[in-house]
Amino acid sequence: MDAQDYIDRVRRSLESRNEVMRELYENKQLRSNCHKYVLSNSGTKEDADTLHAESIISFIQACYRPDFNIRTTLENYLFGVTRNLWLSTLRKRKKDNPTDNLPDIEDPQNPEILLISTEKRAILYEILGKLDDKCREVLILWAQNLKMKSIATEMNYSSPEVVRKKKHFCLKRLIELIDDHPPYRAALKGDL
Amino acid sequence: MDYYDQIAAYKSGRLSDAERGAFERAMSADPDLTEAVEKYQILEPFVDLLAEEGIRAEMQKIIDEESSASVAKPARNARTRRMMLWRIAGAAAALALLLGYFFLKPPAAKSDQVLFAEYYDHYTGKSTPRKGGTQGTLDTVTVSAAEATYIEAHRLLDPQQSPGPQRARELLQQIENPESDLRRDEIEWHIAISYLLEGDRARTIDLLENLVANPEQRYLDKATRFLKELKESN
Repeated sequence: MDAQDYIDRVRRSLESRNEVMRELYENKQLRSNCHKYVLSNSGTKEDADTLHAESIISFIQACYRPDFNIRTTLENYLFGVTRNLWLSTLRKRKKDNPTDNLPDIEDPQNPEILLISTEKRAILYEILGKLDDKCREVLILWAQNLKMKSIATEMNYSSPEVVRKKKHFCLKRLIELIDDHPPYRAALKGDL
Repeated sequence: MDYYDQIAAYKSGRLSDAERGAFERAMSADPDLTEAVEKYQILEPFVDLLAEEGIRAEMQKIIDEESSASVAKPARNARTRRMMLWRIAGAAAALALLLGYFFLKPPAAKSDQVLFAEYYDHYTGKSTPRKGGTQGTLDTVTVSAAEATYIEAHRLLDPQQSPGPQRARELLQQIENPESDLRRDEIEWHIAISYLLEGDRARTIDLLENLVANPEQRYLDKATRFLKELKESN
């Protein structure tokens, strides 16, 4: 599987990205690799299904970084992500349930899964939770590089200009919410 | 494009070289843009998280569509099966009478240990070795390190050994470059059935279902038969 081809397709458009996600999710070999690994390492079928989806999500997110490239095949890359995600999960389960008979595992070193830590995520969600639903929806679409015209169609707004104003308002609102959240600013300095 | 659109495009590498150069020059000349870039740095983690939400929403849609499709299939299969059953029911009743139905007893359910013993493939040493690799010795026979590990794993796949199956699996999983493609398939097979020695039939079933999804697996037929037997006796 040519990794660069997939990366280019993800970056091309939202439609193209969604096609890639579906292709990867339905790929039997990728799913089998993931299942084989998770099931052989104390995981259930449900765990394997979750990891399969999570590895693809992680890949898609990484594609939006301009410096992202893969030196191996996409298959190997996704297996690496699966492995690290699963080791992280096992580590967390063992920490939460020390009596569980789970294998000892070392800390995963893959930076992919360290993009947003759990603690930081909780603070971000706390602030985002104060945005109204429409703002959240507009910003979710905008954050995925959707053009104003497409967002207008998606959300039944009368024109791209209306969307632009809405987006501007929502970002301004988000900044206000951040300013009202001193712990976040303080945490930013410590880089969560 | 407003400032935030430009900044988002710049950060995600969507600007052309010329546009990127112009943007970088503008940053040093336009104080409003500089201020917007500083604000965006605070917004950036939120933008990333919002983009992630969008990706997750799309993934959930794909998963839900797949689930709906697989729920519909068994319903259709069940109707077909019911029709077939009605057609053969008459013939089956007559045959049962002829065979003396009341004298036939269902076979006793086999234990996990018995099933393991029936389906376990003893080590035979037969494979077409790959070239290269480090060498090890086993008694007086020179084998590759991978093969030596494989042999040791087999020794541990013994109900009398403790903690045989778990250690056997660890060894099998360590073999990154097995002697041959046949060995690779054998490793997958033995990992799957090793769970029977620990009474974990459900995990064996899960792993075998994964194995049979690969049409090139050399154990495909055997795994298919075994899966059928395991499910029928469950």
